Amino acid sequence: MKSFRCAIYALVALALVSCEAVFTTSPVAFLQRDPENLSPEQQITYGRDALASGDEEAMAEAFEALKESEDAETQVLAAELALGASGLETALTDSLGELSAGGDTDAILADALGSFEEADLALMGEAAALLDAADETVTPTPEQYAFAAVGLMAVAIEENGGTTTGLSSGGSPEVAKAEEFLQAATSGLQASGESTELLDELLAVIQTS
Amino acid sequence: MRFRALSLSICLFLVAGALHAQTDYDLLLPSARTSALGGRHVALAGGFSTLFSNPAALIDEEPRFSYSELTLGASGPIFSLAGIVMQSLGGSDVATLLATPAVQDLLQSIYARFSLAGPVSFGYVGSGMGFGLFNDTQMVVESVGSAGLEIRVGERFLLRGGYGMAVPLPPAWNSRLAVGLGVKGFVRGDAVIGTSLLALPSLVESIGPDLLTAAPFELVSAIGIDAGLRYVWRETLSAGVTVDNVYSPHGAIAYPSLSGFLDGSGEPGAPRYGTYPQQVNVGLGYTPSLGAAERFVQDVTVLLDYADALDFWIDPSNAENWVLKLGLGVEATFLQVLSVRGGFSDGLFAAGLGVDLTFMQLNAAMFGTELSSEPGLRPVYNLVVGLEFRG
Repeated sequence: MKSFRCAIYALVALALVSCEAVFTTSPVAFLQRDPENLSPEQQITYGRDALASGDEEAMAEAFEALKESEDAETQVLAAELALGASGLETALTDSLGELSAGGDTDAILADALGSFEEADLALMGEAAALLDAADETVTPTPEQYAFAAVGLMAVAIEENGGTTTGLSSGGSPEVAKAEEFLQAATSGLQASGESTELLDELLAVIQTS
Repeated sequence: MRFRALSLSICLFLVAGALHAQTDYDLLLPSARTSALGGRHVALAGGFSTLFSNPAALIDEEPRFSYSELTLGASGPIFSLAGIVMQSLGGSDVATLLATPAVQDLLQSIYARFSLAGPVSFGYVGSGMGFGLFNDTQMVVESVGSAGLEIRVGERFLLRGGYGMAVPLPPAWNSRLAVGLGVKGFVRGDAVIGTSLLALPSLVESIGPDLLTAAPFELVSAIGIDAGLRYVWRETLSAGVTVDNVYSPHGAIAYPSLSGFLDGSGEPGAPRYGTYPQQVNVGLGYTPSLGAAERFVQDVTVLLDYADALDFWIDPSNAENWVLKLGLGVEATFLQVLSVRGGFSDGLFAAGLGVDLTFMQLNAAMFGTELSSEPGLRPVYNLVVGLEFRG
């Protein structure tokens, strides 16, 4: 009797989960507009939607449509899209989860930051360049600076043979820019009265390498 | 270990206060029947929901009171979230559970909403006019930016009213024409809690009244005017046109905390004002005569709408893909008790059932909604169950 009841529960759960798939699969998804063909305002809306969706492919398309913008706020959005499309955020959050689950720290993080392909690293570089261009007009958030800095450090680590040993701001323009972004992030957090302890640790990675 | 510092640093920055402007000034109310039919249909004279669809259709409503209702709604990956809650209740450590890659991936681009409409749902429709006072409570969990999370808890009181007036037509036309005017307004309070994915476990552990009262608070209000027109030919075909938000201004005031708002100690920020863009909606309805079969099947209705038809002109920056504006709905009632509904809107399917128990109606719907302006980019699953006490 108990196994019969369990089977019924399992069937109901399966039916409900299947329903979720039925009602969230759009049969007209092929009618999506190409973001390149949208007006500049619509491209920004598409970019925000893509960022919220977590869809790396959509973020990459939105980035391609917005990356030439000269508007500072749009450049910041494009930078976020590039970081999202590169998989950096997913890699970081996944590695944090694995770390909390008690995995081998060095192996997990080395895998996370060493798993990027050339195209991903190129996106991270472009994101940093866009943020750098935008910060003359608007003030990016500390989080945006910090993510861009991590992206630059991933690029630098890749060029450095996959290790942080020997990384220094004097030896690599990426590391120098990452340090600049980290300092900007620190200033932002100090202005809002928040702790910069962890940022300081991050800066120490560069300064003590 | 440096890698660890690198990663932890990034996520710990994403802290409370990353608030984004509230833009969802929705003047509608969740309804299981409307949702199952693929959204609002402006050609339909559909009982109390007519207050929200087309004021001109009020002319065709039989007198009816609404005493109360309880409509529960849930949106987003609710089964996945339910699984997490079950594991947590089963003894799993919350911090460990929330930090697993699967949960982190889920939360990274999450949109989840839980709502309860009612118990205030008092009103009347009939004789060409209608009004209603409603309340609803909702909680929205949404990812913000790269790894931030925003939890918004709100309570809203909504007032709707309308008046429809017949326009005389020659009897030989076998037709009826009506125009209508609707008024609406709401007041809503939102407490907003911002956090990061990494700080979520500590937030979960600190859940209590203080968490809500210390959260930033926003008071939003709006009023508006709608206009409508509806034409019926031989009681079989109908067509409707509405202009929502002919003029609908809204305003919002932010307070540093909910407690500061309640006890008057919080200094409000500068008020923000705006107006909703007009929305022009058009729709067709077909109610075939079934002859002898009407003993078993009644009120078969097919509805087709095109919503916000002029957004490319009125609000070009938020203009949606045309396919998202299409709304198709089909309804049939069996033995005057059981209603079966199906629909298609936002490029996604909808389905539902209704049972008329004389003193109350039980309605349920499952449907998808699209949060973005393109089909399939950010679809969300919804489940609504409603008990409506109307007579």
